[in-house]
Amino acid sequence: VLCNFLNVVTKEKGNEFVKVDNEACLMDDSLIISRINSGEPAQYSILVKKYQSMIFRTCMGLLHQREDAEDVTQEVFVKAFRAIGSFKGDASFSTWIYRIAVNEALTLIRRRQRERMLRRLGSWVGFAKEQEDFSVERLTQHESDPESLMIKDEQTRWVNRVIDELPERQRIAFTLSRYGDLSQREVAQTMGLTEGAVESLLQRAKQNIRKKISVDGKNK
Amino acid sequence: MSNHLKVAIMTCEVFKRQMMENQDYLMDQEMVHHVNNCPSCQRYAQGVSQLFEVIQTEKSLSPSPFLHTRIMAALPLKDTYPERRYVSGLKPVLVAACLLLMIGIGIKTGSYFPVNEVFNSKTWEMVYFDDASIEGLEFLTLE
Repeated sequence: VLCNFLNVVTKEKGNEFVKVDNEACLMDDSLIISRINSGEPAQYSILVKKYQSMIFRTCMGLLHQREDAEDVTQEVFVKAFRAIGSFKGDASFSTWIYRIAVNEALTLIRRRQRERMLRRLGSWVGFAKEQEDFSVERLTQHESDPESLMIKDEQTRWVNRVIDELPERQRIAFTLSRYGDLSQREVAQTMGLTEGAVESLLQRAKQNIRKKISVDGKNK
Repeated sequence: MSNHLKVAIMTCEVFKRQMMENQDYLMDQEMVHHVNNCPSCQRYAQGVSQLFEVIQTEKSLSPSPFLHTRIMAALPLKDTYPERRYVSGLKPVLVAACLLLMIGIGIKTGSYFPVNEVFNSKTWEMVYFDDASIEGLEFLTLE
């Protein structure tokens, strides 16, 4: 009813874009999914609009690279679309899609680790040169001063390393909580754990970060 | 308890724990007092502020405005119709059946042409070239 009311209001204003966005925010996910399953696949666009930023943010937290995060976000939505027929609705769509996102991001991280290891092995044997990871995004930042850009780059790398060195489950819990802004309950649902277990994971993650910052601070 | 006493009992461990819990990176009076007098916690506070700053920067990045279009273009939208799925399941069977049908038609068409007629040596062309009876070799050698 609220959607229809908004449709009327926005039609009067002649603003189609606002109408779609309002629908996206207000329509129930299960209703959209049932429409998709009954032969209206274009309805999936609403779900993409609704969740793409959140998924992208979580992927950024795990991958730290815009290009990778966008690729994984795309892959997540394609996978979710293919499997939407099997979505039973036991958990919310957001929980389900977050779970796919975390799995996809971890798969990419593992692949990258394997590639890095092979590259390192190649450089030891003498086949390939070991290269530093380089992102174009770092060059498009606003600092015009090369020194400040370098310092900032170094800081970003350090922070990313601190987060990446956390054990996998702590890292997922920390990322979902800090980047995805999920509550402990939502993190627990996404990871298939109890709220208590998530709280413990978050505490240990913070403790590890604290130790890492203290140690690195002493070495600086 | 007076503020002065509170400041006195704050340890580095408490300071560090409070810094990590404090998402807004706001320090109360006792934390400020502690950090001003403890170089180790100053470095730690710097580290935590860098951590929060980088997280905030990465969080504030928005995806490309074309991401939605990109995702929608990558979706296999046509495969979602049940009828389509049914046809795609039968596809190999249909292809095999068509192939067999074409082979059958080929064999049947081929069988309409009698083999003997094609390779018979007594065609009018062969008779025409068989001129031995018209002009014998003996006649040439006699001349």
